Amino acid sequence: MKDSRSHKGSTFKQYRVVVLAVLANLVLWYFSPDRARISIGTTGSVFREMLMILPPVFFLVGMLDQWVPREVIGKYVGHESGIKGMVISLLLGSATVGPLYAGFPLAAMLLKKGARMSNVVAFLTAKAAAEVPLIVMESKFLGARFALVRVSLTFVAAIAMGWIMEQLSRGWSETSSDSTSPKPAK
Amino acid sequence: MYSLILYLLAIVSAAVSFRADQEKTRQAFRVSVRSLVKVAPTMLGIVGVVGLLLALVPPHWISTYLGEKAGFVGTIAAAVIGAVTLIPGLVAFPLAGSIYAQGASTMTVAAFITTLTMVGFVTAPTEIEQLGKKMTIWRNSLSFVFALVIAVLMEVILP
Repeated sequence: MKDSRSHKGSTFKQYRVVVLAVLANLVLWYFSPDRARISIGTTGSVFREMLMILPPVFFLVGMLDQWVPREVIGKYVGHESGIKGMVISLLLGSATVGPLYAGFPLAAMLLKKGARMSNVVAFLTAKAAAEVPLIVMESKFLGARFALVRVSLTFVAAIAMGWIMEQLSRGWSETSSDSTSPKPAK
Repeated sequence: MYSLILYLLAIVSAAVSFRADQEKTRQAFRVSVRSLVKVAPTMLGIVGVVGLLLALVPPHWISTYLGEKAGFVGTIAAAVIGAVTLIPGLVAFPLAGSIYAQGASTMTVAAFITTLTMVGFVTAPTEIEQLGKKMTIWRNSLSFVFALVIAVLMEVILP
């Protein structure tokens, strides 16, 4: 939030949400310092979380992009991967820990390298709602039965959503073309 | 802990990769830095909005509100609140537990958790940057609908 001071047109525009958030916090501070303290504290902790996670995630995705050939991605999660591809995607989703936004760079890279839309959506869904640490936490607070039933339903939903998204995506061309995922040099 | 593993993994793979092919490693590094710089404004914006949201809508309000609201209205409210908020996992489950304890139905708690995790209203800008607008809108809308379906099924299976 520090580098929001720049007055260069495009930079300012890019950071307008940050600027607004800073202003909102100042207003909040004026009316309710307690609330502002909560806001700034939360912002700090979420920022720290992002800082801990995003740089290595982007680097690892960049490495996979460099080292894993298209054919391998195609074979495991591509159009001919079938049920195996779906199972791999669901397991990959539940096994990779961390917030959902950490899964976007990987999803973008997989799509770019020829992964099937249904598998990428299933991966994201499983990552969001059926991660292993999530299930552990959930069992603790809501009971193991609750967690197991919800996770099983989530897997079914992930498969169904993947199928629907794949039918829909046939009509798109945008899907991964405007991604920020690593692009091979020139 | 998790981030320690990530950083270790990144460092070890960088070292191994560097020995095998310097150019590929440099390229991976350059590309990842560029991607990070590109998502930074959106990410920082998200961070600011999350802080404000949690300050203006304290978690205990959510649990009191959803605990009192009964029936399908409560479930829809839970799904909407779950979709628009981004609550860190460490807060989310104790919160879901207290919503349950305050009398909300299985359906409501399931809807809340499912949209909370699957639908990312606040993170949509970065999802759009990385996966495209159509994919983001559809993924989030479908997640919302499926969250309600999951919630209803949960109520049937675990009344």
